[in-house]
Amino acid sequence: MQKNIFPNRQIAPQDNNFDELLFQNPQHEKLENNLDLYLIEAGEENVVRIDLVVNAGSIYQSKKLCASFTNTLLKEGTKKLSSDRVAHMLDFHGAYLNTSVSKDMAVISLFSLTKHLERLLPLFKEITTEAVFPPHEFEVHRDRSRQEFLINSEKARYIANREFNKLIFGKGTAYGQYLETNDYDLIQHDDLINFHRTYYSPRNSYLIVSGKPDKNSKKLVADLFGSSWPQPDYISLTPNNITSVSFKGEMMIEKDDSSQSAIRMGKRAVGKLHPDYPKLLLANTVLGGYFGSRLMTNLREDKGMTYGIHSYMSHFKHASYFSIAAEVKIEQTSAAIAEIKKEIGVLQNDKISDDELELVKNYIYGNFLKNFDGPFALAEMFRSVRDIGKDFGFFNKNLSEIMTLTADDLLTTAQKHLDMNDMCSLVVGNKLYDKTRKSE
Amino acid sequence: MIKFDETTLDNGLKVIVHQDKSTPIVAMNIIYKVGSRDESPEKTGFAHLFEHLMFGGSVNIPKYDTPLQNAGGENNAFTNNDFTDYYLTLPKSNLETAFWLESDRMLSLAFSEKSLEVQRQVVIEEFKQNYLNQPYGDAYLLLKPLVFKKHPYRWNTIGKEISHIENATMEEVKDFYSRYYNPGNAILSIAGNVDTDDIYKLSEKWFGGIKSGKTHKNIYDKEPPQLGDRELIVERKVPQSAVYFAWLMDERKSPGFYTTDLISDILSSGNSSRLYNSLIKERKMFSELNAFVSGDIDNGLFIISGKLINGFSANEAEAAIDEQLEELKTSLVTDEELEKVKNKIEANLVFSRLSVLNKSMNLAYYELLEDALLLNKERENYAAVSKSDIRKKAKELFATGKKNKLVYIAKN
Repeated sequence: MQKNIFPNRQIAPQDNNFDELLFQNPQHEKLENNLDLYLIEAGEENVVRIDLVVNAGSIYQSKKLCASFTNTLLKEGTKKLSSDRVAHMLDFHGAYLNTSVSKDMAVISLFSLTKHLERLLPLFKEITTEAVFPPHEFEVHRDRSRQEFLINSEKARYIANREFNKLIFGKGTAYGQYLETNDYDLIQHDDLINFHRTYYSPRNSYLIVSGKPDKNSKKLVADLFGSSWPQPDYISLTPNNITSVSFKGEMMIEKDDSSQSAIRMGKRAVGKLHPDYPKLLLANTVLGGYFGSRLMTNLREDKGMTYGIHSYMSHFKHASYFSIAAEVKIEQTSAAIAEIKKEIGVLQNDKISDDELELVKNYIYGNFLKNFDGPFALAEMFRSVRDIGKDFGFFNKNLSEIMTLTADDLLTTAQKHLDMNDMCSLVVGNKLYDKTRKSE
Repeated sequence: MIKFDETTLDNGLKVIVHQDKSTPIVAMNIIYKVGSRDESPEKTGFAHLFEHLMFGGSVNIPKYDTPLQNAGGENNAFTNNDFTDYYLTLPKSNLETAFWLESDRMLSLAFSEKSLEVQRQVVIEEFKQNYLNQPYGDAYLLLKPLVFKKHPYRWNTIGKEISHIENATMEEVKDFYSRYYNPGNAILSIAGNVDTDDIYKLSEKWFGGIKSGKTHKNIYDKEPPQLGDRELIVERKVPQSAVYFAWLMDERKSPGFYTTDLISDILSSGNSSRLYNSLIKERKMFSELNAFVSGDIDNGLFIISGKLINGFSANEAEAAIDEQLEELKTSLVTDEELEKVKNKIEANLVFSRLSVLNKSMNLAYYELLEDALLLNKERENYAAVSKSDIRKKAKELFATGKKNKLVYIAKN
């Protein structure tokens, strides 16, 4: 081994290099029944992930909880298989079944070793298409979910997220839906059967297979979800009243036993397909999108007011929003809000330095790369663009655009899209303890 | 199987390299062999507070995060009872920057007063956010001192009380650094599309010149055998009553660990498990119920924790769980049941190899235990467990007088 030459530690050892990102798009096949099947063959381990993505999110439900209960309870029994049998088959083969529901989509995912996939595929198909939602399993799930809801309702964080969503999308709208305890009494077993029958159909879904499936499994997937899935076609109709006007201004929810204040601030924003999207993504990252962000540097690393503060861009099919979230020292709640507003002001009024701009661009590049680590991560990234009708090229296009943005672009973007007058701000906490609050 | 190469520098730093050609990013992981078990009982929470200070600038680099973010990298760290783990990922083309950053903070810190002052506040907010400002948040603050009377596992990584964090001084910070943050007390592990010789050269270049230092090796008081059940009942404003049962279990490296881990899987891994079937689904007694092992290096905990459906009492819950444990003590599990939990372990080991970050972490962790090679022996270790091992271990683990019980009574 070469003997140690003590290196120069004062400066970084190398210039940062960034190769162009190139991700191969999935292979696409349209099955007999019009179902889109995407195949992402990647990775070195013999594992497979299958995602069935259905337009069956919460906006389509006429009763709250219906979309999520339907999705979660798919695995609780089919015409041929009992709930116990399904659980045993999955566990015995070391497989996992994940379900998740957002406002727009419902996803059911199978994770399996390649060697067991052929045996599990018929089960996966049966769960998604022949679920019967047995009354006993329905009741068990309903009662457990109700308890979980009650526990969450004691967390300032949960209350803040729930209320903020309502303020942003409007009360009584499909996106602004808001859970209450009695929703758990209203939901009925029949609601699930109807929801499933209506929405879980081939033309309303698509399938992603990622990892290293063998030849037989690939053929079996196409058979099971193609020719053998001849359900009546249905495409989810977008409901009316998805959103209404957002609340603007300040709101406080008292929670007596709080030891911290949960702050949420934000406004509706442009979506991923808007020409300003890359600019807003950059602005968000500078402000609160990474550990070195201005909000984190100021409120945490300089003032120790919080364990963490972040800003986010949240995108849904029909609307998007920008938000800032933090749990802060209760004694300094008002001071924290003032600092947040100050940072937004700085973003709108002061030009970013070349160093910081370059750093954020580099960070965004590295972060993109990290999001593609591993075959299953590719499937998730693909889903995020497929849902807006794009492919991996979308990331390359955005990334190249972000790399060309200037300090002036950032100023105009912050002025145009992060106007404080349009913001809604919410605090869950106890104002009596806030020593930085001005008296009314 | 994970293939890897390893070497040890003259100053004692262990270097492990794993090549994965399928990804454009590289993961670097450094474990320092110091955790909350190395703290003094009057100054708990220090190892974790110190982890925060590792980001407050090193001798030649004012801010750790800035150059890393400039290189397109991301990082984080965590502290537990036994060790402190720092990890980062970045594009392979910028890998040397990671060597520069990590070696500089192993060489020496900046020891900034401001950083200490601010991070004390940040950690106090972390304490409140995770342990106080949510229902049942203090469960482990209560449970651990109930089980451990001698061993330093009796306090939590976050610290026994906020005042310990408030009182930390710069002198203590410096002392802690020179005691534990030495090359001979660290394991460096790298995974990505890298070449072993290149990594060895970079390791020598950046870490080779750091003095080995003198690491303080602690001897931990062994927790004496428990004589008689213990219980703690608290009333809290929580939505439902909850129970936590804990038993002292085997050390991480003993064969008994694997048997005990499989017992926890038989009880509660997946919807076909015993506790889920009998107590959540059939009797509808719990809304949540889990059995798991803490995974500590010294004698750790076997825990069963559950939240009760309203209408059931903690005593009924305890009796129902006891019935399940009795079953394990008296009857053998079936062949199929044992095969099932072993299959699940096998699959989980494969799933854990899907990202370079995970792989680098696992290699470093097993090296900390004894040898990175152990990672590739895990499957055999679990496969060796027999039905009668399980019954025997259940009898020993759940013997009379070994139980610790924490109950939250919901107060309206």
